[in-house]
Amino acid sequence: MIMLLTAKSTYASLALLTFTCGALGCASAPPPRELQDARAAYRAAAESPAAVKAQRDIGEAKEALGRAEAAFDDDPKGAGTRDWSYIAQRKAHSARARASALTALDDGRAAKGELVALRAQEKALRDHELDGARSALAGERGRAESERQARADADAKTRDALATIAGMTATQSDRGLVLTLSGSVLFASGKSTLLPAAQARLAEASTALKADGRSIHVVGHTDSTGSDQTNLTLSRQRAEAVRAYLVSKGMTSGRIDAEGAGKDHPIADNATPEGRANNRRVELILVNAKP
Amino acid sequence: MKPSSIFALLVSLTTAACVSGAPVPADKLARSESAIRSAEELGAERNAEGARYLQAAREQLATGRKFVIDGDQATATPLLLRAEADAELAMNITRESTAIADARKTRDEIASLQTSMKGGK
Repeated sequence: MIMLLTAKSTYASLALLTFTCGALGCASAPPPRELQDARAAYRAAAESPAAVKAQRDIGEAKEALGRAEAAFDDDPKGAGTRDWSYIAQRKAHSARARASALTALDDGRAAKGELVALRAQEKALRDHELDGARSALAGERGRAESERQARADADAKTRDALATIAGMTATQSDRGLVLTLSGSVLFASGKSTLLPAAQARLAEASTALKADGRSIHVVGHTDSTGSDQTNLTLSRQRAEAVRAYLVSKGMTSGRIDAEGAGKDHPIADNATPEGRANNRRVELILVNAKP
Repeated sequence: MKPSSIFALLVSLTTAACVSGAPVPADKLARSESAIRSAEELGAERNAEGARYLQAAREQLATGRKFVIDGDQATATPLLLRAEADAELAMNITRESTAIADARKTRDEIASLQTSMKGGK
């Protein structure tokens, strides 16, 4: 029996011991429930994949089970058998739990390493995206500034070119550069045919306008004298006359459109002759390109 | 345990050793007490299974201590050994549960981070 217990594998030894006892009938009483549980718990712990991580604990469980087996051999129904079986079972469970805890700790450590690497990767990605966004913003600002500067230059150039033309003023508005030609310079009263002097001035202006390159919105305005419909029609015809003349001077027709605003947008008092004269006008709006 | 109880226990242990001649299980008593303290410090009471074994360890320690005081070393010894084994089991079950939960939490964080990276959030 002692020889069997000192065999190299405890599990094999126990199995052989059980078999031998059973075959020889050496134990008249069957092993108590506690011992059976202890054997099963020890087997589960020793055979678990993580057993190698808790060798010391498995060893303690093995020793306790050995004592339980010895107590059973000595007195199958004795308190020693129950006590050592109880202790062996607890130690076997404890060894299995410890092995599992150590496995989980290893897994947790590996996961933490992965998490650190992943966070670094995420940060690099975010930094990269942020750099890209910053560059794009800087580029966008640069482009916007270039466009603003180009517009300012074009306005200045056009204003300079038109400054010498009598009866024409240039102002800057949100929509673009607005060139205003007095109606008295352009047309005879109630007419929409350009006066010869007006043609000469528009011919001069067309050179600067062609160079500017922006689209032109021609708007005709009247004073408040006469009916709304008459004023609307007259203002539209005058705007069309200016447009047609500029096209005849070589400006692309697609660049110019015309509309009549009638008396709806006065810039001076219609109660005085001077005010009415100022309200009778044609505006050429050099439209800024939309950003 | 009160100081007077500790004194009484020590006197009993000494007397028992003199009377019976058997080895005094003072080390076993200390070991089971230490194991129970460790399990408590580890938070075994917050783990359902751990708490059950911790309670069993306390009860067996209490009974074992009475036998020690009565000088019945033979009965006390297995109870103290049982108490120690239960306390150690409570400890290891708690460790296992905590380690598994921690690892799972980290894995969940990884999965969440991977999802947000894939989504470009």
